[in-house]
Formats: sequence, structure tokens, C-alpha cells
Amino acid sequence: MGVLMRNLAMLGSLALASLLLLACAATEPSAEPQAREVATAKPGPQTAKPVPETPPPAPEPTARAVIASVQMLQDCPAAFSAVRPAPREPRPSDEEAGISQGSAAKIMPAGGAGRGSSLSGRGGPSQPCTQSTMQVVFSGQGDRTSRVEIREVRMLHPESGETLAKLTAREPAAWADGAYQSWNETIGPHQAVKASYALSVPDWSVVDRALGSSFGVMFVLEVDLKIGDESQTVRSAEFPREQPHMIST
Amino acid sequence: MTARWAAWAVVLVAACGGEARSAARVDAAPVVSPASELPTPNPRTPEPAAGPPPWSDAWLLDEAERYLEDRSFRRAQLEASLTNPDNLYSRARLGSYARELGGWDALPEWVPRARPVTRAVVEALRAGARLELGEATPLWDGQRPQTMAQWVELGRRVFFEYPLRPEVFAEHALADAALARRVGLGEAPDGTWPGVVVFRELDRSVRVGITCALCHVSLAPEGPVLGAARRDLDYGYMRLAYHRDTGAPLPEKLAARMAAWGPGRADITEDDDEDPVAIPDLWGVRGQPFLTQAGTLRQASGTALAIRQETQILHANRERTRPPRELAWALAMYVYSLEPPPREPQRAAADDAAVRAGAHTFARACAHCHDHESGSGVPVLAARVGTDPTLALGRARGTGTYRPSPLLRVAEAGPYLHHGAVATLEDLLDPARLDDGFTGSPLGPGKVPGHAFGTELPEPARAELLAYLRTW
Repeated sequence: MGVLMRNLAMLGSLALASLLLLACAATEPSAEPQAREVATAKPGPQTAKPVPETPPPAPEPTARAVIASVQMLQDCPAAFSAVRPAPREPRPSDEEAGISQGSAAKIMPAGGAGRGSSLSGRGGPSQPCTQSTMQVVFSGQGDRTSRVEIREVRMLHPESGETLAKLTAREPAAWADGAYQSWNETIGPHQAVKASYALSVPDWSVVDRALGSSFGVMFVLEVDLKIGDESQTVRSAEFPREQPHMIST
Repeated sequence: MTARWAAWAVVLVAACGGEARSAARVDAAPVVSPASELPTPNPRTPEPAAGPPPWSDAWLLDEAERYLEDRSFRRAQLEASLTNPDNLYSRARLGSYARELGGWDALPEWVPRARPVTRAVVEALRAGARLELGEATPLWDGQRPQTMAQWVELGRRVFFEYPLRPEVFAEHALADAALARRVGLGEAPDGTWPGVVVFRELDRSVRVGITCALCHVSLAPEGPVLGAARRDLDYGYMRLAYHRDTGAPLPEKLAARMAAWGPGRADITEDDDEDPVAIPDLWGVRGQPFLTQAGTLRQASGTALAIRQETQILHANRERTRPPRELAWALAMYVYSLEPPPREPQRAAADDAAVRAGAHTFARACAHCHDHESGSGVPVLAARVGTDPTLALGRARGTGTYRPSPLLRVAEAGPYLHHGAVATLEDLLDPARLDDGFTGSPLGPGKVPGHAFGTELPEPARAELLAYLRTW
């Protein structure tokens, strides 16, 4: 009787194991398209050796990265983000001052609202500036804590795929408690991180020369990054260069 | 009102005439986009199904669940709503909205803590004090509304309190009484300043932000008029004043562009085209077949407007967060609830004979384009309208068309045309504005071409048409 019970228990265990295997197999196809869409794995430095004839199966990545959004406006010194205008001196009423097209041009010095121009620091006269950013979502999948490193950011022409500019990503921040807060670029086991990076902007004159105009066209961002030991390349959806002075509706 | 029904009766009779009406519509050539197929003649027509009547509260409440819960439904509705999939507005949304993975759906949801700007806030700004948010609670407690009244009430809060972005220019203007008045910022009888809020930014700093109410609530002496375009809002002047007062440099060309906007106009496109538009009233939006001056969106259901609000808010907030969809749906329901204020009695008692005659003229000369109950209609080729084509043909919002403007309270809706180039309704129908010697445009001397419809009418008919239009 005891032997029979043991055999029955073994059969039950085998059936359960088979079911689990079937269930695992059934989940594979859904994971595969995700990998294709999210990231194109690139060989990391450690795999730069001659490729063996039968490569070992790729290890499960420690985290997936996907770009949620990119907004390409300006590049601002860090102090710009929270500046407030200084209290103004008493002056004749604005009705008397009468800004017109002509006088407005007269009071504005010629030249660009260039990066860093005329900033005297927090609370002083400040150049309004809207920072370009990219938002990246990392989904930790492994059991280890991994470090994220943004290695290269390229702005591409969406049709030709040609690299138009190399950008830099800085000031990593992660969403927590209803705000973006400074982030040390580590991802805990099975942790999801909604991150935001400040982006530099291209030399627009170069882009203008290449495309005729950098406005009215769409771009794509391609980002090489490393999570733990694994390198990934992710692409954004299309985005335009935007004028910061409008109220987009 | 009787005359309006009479006009609609004429339209219906004409519609029953079949061939005659078809000829009129072909003449109007309502083509949506060179890059897309012709629009469905009546995009409001729902799929035949048993259930609540289209655009009723019950119909919208049924749809709320699908918008809120079904990503593939949102994606399909987005695609169906974009009249030209190739302009920047469409491409950005097609690339990032309701994707299976990533895109804007992956952004964190943000429920801001905000409170209206009040006299105390303004006084603090004028004293140079640091902004304080105090005990502001999140705009939404996370409880999904169940009734239309609850949706509308939540939407009202979003309309008045959800910051579209921090706005240093408004903060600067609030700190100066004369400048605030000059640019159209003002206090309502309840002590709040509609359109501006104090809120906690994404980096936890406390800022002044702008909301929907900045452009779509006018400040009448008797109180705010909800949904009315704020036609004295001079956003270009607000920005110029900041640069003038702080010494922050501004490119000369950009300064000239902002100065040229004038009250009630602003540039709403992200590219470098010079295509400022007049701020529109937001009345009678429920069921309008197309949205925006360039007819950028077909509105087949409430989801089209909710997606527009959702993507507008996340884009305005620099695509770093997105609003909970409940707030976008609530905002759409609030916009649907907006109706013009009651008419002044003397207007309603206008000369009935002239109004009736004007109604007939309207049915004959105008209603083949302005055929929706709001006075709007199916977009018409920009070349046929003949006004400045920059917006219609632009890369940002271009569809190749302009949408017939809604006509609710049209007599008070000047300046007219999509870019606000005609000051009065009389000027709009006056053939003199088509001549070089015209001096009545808010944009400066010179002719204002386009939308010549009605200018060819003999004088008595024009006056009658004006009398009728004043009843809308």
C-alpha cells in the first residue's frame, strides 16, 4: 500500500511538472516580441572575443529598458529649472510703456537667447529655459541589483536612420512619491524605475544644413545603455524639435 | 430661436431635395487632407446598435469604461480621429500613444497638488515673498466618478486647477498690478484668479502654473464666463514684458512675432511657422464633427476629445508625466457641459421679420458648410476658404482644410477667422475688407482676403443675415 501511494505521488508530481513545463513554454512566445520591440541586444565588451560556433543561450537580462518619451527643446544650466524672476523696480504703467512690435525689437538685444546668456543666478534676472529630456522606464527582471549606464545617445533621422547628432544624458532622476528625485542609477531586484534624464541638444545649425530645417520634421533617439553586464540599444518613438515659446494645444 | 428652427427647417427641406443639396456640398468641397481619404460625410453617426442615444449622458458614461480600461480601444479611437496622420500632431501621437509597450502609457501618473492663485498669493508675489503652497491636497482622491454630475465636477477642477506647465511669465505679470491688467489676468468675484494656480512642480519646487481657464474663461464684470475665450489675454505681451523687465535677452525676430500676436491670439504649434490663432470659445463642443480650427480631429465619440485632453496635458507638461485618464475624461465631460450664458433679453427680441429673412439667407448661403447645430461643420479646403493658409498647410497641424467655425454667440466672438484678422461681424460681411485700402483689421492695415462668403450679398440681405447671426 505504501509503495502504491509513493508511485501515485510520483505520478502526480510528474504530471504537475509537465503542466508547469507546458505553462512555461506557453509564455515564451509572448516574451519574445517584447524583446524584439524593446531592445536590440548588442555585444558588450566582454563578448568582443571571437564568437564560438555554438553560442551559449543568452542569459535572461537583468532589466529591460524602454523609452517612454523625448522632448527636444533647449539645454539649460541646472539652476534654470527653479528660477523665479526678481521683484521688479517700480516703473511707469505698462500701458504707458506700450510695447509694440518696433519697441519690443528695440528693447531686445540682437542675437540668440543662447545657452547661459545673461543669467545671474537664482532670484536674479533669468533666461527662461525649458530643458530637453528623455524618460526611460527600467524593469528589473533579475535577482541582483544592477547599475545603469547610459553610454551613448544618438539623434537619428527617422527615415534614413542616419545619425544627425550625438547627445549627452545627465542628471538622472527617478519618479518617487509624486516627484522626480535624484537617482543613483541602480535597479533593485524586480524593481521598476521610471527615470528621467536631462538631454543636451544638437548643434542645430548642422542639422539645419543637413535637413533644410530642424523644425517640422521628426527625429528618433537611439540610446546605447548598459544594465549590469548587459548592453542594450533602445529606440524612442518619433519626436519633433519644439519651439519653447508656444502654448501647444 | 424660432428663426433658427426655421432655418433648420429650410436646411432639412433642402436635404430632402437630394440633388440640389448634393450640388451645394460638392461646391463646398469639404476635403480633409491631401494625405488621407475623404472624411466620412457624417463622422458623428455611430454604429447602429441598441443603447442610449449618441452623445447622451448615458452613451458617454458607457464609453468612459472603454476609454479608461481598454488600450486597444484607445488606440483605435486615436487612429480614427486623426484627419491627417502625417502632420506633427498626428505623428507624435501615433508614435507614442496607447502602444503595447513603452511610449506615453509608461510615464508616471501625476496628480498635482495645486490651489488657485488668490489675492493673498498675488500680494505675496508683489512683496517679493517666497511662494508657499500651504495645505493643498492632491487634485483628485483616486475615486472614479460614477455619474455625469460627478465627472463634470471633477472636470471643473481639472479645468481650473491642473497646471499645464509652470509659467514664469505669468508669475512675473501677477507681481505687477498694471501689467497683470494689461495682459488680461484678473480676479474673479470669489477672490481667485482663474487660469493661474500655485502648485508643486515635478522637482518639488513651488511654482505658478497656467491652466485651461487661462484661455477659456473670460472675466466679465459680473463674474467669469465659463468657456468663453479670454480675448483680452495678451500672452505675447506677457512674455515680452518679462524680457523687458528682467533684461533676459530675446531674439529680435521672436520678439517681433510675439508683439504681433496681440490680445486673444497665440501660437499653438511647436514648429517655427508663424501661424498664431484666435482663442476659440468652448461652447457646444459635444457632438461637433471636427475639432480645432484646422479640423485636426474627427470627433466620433467622447474618447476623441478625452485623448486630445490627455495628450495635450502630458505634452504641455513636457512629457515627463501623464495625467490619470480619469482626469482627462472628466475634463472632456466638463467641456461638453459648457454652454453659452443666457442671452440678453433685448437681443432675443430683435426684429423678427429681419431675423426670419436672415435665416433664409443663412440656409441658402451659409448652411451648406455651417450645417451642424453648433454652426460648425465638415472642414473645407483651405484654398476654397481663401484665408491665410499657413495653419492649414503647415507641418504641425495641417490638414489642407479649415473647419467652419462654430457660431454660438458669434456676434460676440470677434475677432473672426481662424487667425482673428477681422474685428467685427459687420466687417466680415463687408466687401471693403477684401480691398487693399481696408484699415479695420486688428492685424494692421490692408486687405483681409478669404471667407468672402456673404460679402456678395446686397445690403438688405447682409443686414438681415447679421440680424439672424446675432440670434445664435
